[in-house]
Formats: sequence, structure tokens, C-alpha cells
Amino acid sequence: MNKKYRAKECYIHRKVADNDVLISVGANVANFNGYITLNPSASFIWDSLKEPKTADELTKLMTEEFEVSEDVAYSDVKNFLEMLQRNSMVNVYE
Amino acid sequence: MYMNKLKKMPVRYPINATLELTLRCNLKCKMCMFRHGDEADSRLMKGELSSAQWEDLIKEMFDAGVLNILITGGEPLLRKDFCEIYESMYRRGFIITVYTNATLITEKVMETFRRCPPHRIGITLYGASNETYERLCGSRDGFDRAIEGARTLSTLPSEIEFRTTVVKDNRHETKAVSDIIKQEFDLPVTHSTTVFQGVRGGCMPIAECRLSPEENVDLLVERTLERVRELFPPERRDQIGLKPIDAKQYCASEKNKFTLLGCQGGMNSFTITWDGKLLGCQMLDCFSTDAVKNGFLRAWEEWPNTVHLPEVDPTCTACPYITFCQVCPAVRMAECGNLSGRPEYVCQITKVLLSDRRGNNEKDLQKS
Ligand code: SF4
Repeated sequence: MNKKYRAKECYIHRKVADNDVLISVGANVANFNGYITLNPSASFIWDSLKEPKTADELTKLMTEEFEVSEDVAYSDVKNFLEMLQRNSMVNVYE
Repeated sequence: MYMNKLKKMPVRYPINATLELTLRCNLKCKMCMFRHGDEADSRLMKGELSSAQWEDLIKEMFDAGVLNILITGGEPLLRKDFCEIYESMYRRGFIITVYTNATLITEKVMETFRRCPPHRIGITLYGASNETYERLCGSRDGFDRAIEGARTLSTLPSEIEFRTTVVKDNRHETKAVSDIIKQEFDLPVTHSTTVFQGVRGGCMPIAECRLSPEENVDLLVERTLERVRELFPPERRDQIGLKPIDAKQYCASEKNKFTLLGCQGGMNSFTITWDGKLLGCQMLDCFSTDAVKNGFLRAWEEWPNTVHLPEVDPTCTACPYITFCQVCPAVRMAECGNLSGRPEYVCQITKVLLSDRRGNNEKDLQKS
């Protein structure tokens, strides 16, 4: 429950025609050669992960930033973190 | 022909950039559309944008939302400041492709590429022997250097794509090039389809060395069938119902779509030339704005106002095969020297492809 997550540095977050995208760079292009589009909440979570954070900390930040209930925020955070882990996009600290 | 005037320009996004860092090249390929004579080198070099000018433009392109950058030339690695320009671009975050002849892969370039690997590298090969490189590109050890360069580049995590341009001088090595690349790198080779005449001051003897329309169609068919065989083995072909189509019906079913040059040029893609002009298509410089003087965004926004296309040859307007034909304003300019002419070479290719040889092609496909 107290696992901390941190975004790996092999992605550059930028805007392309009003969309937030992550561009894969460096040695990471061998694993993923392209880019990913983020919706506003995913984009906010990704930026928050520049420093290590737990799912609870991210949920709190989400409820402060967007008008969402804690339940909805937590489920968004959980889904996005799962996707990031599946694709080795975050470092995880116990 | 009656055309509806648009009240407003549809939204255009500058997503795909081609950056032509230099027009100079260390090879002298007979079929290069852009190659000037050696005597033009010092003039070309003097007119090239500085690395600081490229960096300013790249920042503006980044702010404007450019996503994909193709770095090309000439031979881009010929620029002494290539690594500096490249790295500053990479660190901003673009999807970057580099086109190179792979004969100038120095340790400095590799050191930069290891830190900042391009997403894709397109390596162009012009033959399978030094003899062919000497005859076609004026380089005695060109093949050895290109293969050595390709080997070095293939140690990067980048996706590597091999390309070749087939003309009379290297036609006999088409298969050898594919075999070598398959054996060494386990990769396919993409073949250019048609070689057009020189543009923008290019002065190589292209008309003399390119394939005849018949040879060109034979190559096209040969390559297409190979690809079909790879992608669709006979048992799958029946399942998906792959069969020759009726060209006329296909053309009639194509819907009108809005473009400025007949393609995505100037709609979501553009070229910045070695001397800072913004073009909708790298081949066509009669419509251009000045990206250095006016800044990238203004140059991009104003570019459509420069496009004035005349009526084209009436034979083309009435032609039932126009959708299959490679003709476009840039091809007309390359082949006829103007924007309205009917390019005889391209016209013949279309006709050979769709008429006399068509019966044979269908049989070839059934046989294969
Ligand atoms: S060049 Fe020839 S084949 Fe192409 S559109 Fe014109 S008439 Fe038709």
C-alpha cells in the first residue's frame, strides 16, 4: 500500500496540437519506438510522478486539481499506475 | 473545370517536418534529384543556415506542435555541426528519423547517437559492390563504407530501414542488395518506385540512367509480388479474397478530399530547406515562404497564399487513370519544367502498368 512510484526519465512530456504526449527517447526506443497520448488526468499524474509518490498521495492531489470524488480519483490513479507498471514506465520503491 | 471556392482554409497542423540540413553530398549519384555540381559546393555551404538558426527554428517548430522530424539532405552528416544541431533537437522531444548514405559514420556521430538514438534510421544503398558505387556514385570504396556504416548503426536501439534506388547502372544488383541485407541484418529493402528528373537546380543525368517505363513497371511488379508472397501466402490469399481490381471502377470510387498540392504537403507536413525556405514539398520550390526572416509560424500560416496551380494538360483532366498515376505538381515540374504539362515518362509508366502488362501481372499473381 505504501509503494512509491516515480516516472522513468526515458519519456519527454510535451504538447502536440493541444494533446499531451509522451515521446520515448534514449535507449528506451529499443522497447518502445513512438509516443503515447495522455488525457488531462493521466497527464497530471505523470507530471506529479517526477518525484516519488504513493497512490494515496496521487489520489489526494487529483481531488485537489479536478472536481472528482476520492473514489473516482483513486480508481483513475490505480488504473493508470497499473498501465505504467505493465509497460515499465515507472520505477517502484517498496 | 468548375471548382468551389473555400470560404475558410481547413485547419492545418504542422505535424511532420523534413529538415534538409544541407544539399551537399559526399557521393555523386547519377540519379539524385537534388545534387548540384561540385563547383556549387562553396556557394551552397555559404548559404546554409547556421546551427544557431536551426536551433531557433527547431524551438519554434516545437512550440507549434511539430511531432515527427525527418533529417535529410544531401547527406546531413556532411555538416560539421550535425551533432550539435541533432542533439538540441532530440532533447526537446520529437520522433526523429535520419536519412543517410551511411558512409560518414564517425565515432563522434556514434557517440551522439548512443546518447540520443534516433527513432528510425533510413540507410540508402546504391548497389552491392564497390564497382557499382564507383560507376553510379563516383566513390571507389562506397559500398564497403556504406556496409561498415550500416553495421555500426545497427548496434543502436534505433529501428533501421534499408532503402535503394534502382536505375540502369545497378539493376543487375537489385537482388544482391536484398540478399545481403537479409543475410546480414534480417531486414527487407524498400525500393524507390519511380526516379524523377532533377529539381531545384539538381543537374545529374537522370533521364539517361533511369529505367525505361517497361523496366520500371517490371521492377514494380516484381517487388509487389514479392511483398504479396511474403504477406499473403496462397492459402491466406483466398481467405481474404485478394484479387486484381478494375482500375476504372477504383478511380471512380475515390472521394474528393481537400489538399493544396494533391497530398498532405503543406496540410500537415512541410520542408525547411538548407537555406531556410519553407516548402510544402521538398521537390517543389516555386511555392515558398521564408522561415528565417518571418519565423516558422508565420511562414507556415502564410504558405497556402503562395500556392497558385494552373489548369493542367486536358489529357490528364480527362484521364480515367489519374488516381493510379504518380502525377502531381512536383512531378510535372520535375519532368516538364512547369506545373501544367503532361509528364511523358510517368504517363507511359501508368499506361504500361494498367494496360498491356496487366494481363501478365494477373497471371503472375495467380502463379505465385
Ligand atoms: S500523366 Fe498520363 S496517365 Fe497520368 S494523369 Fe496524365 S494522362 Fe493520365
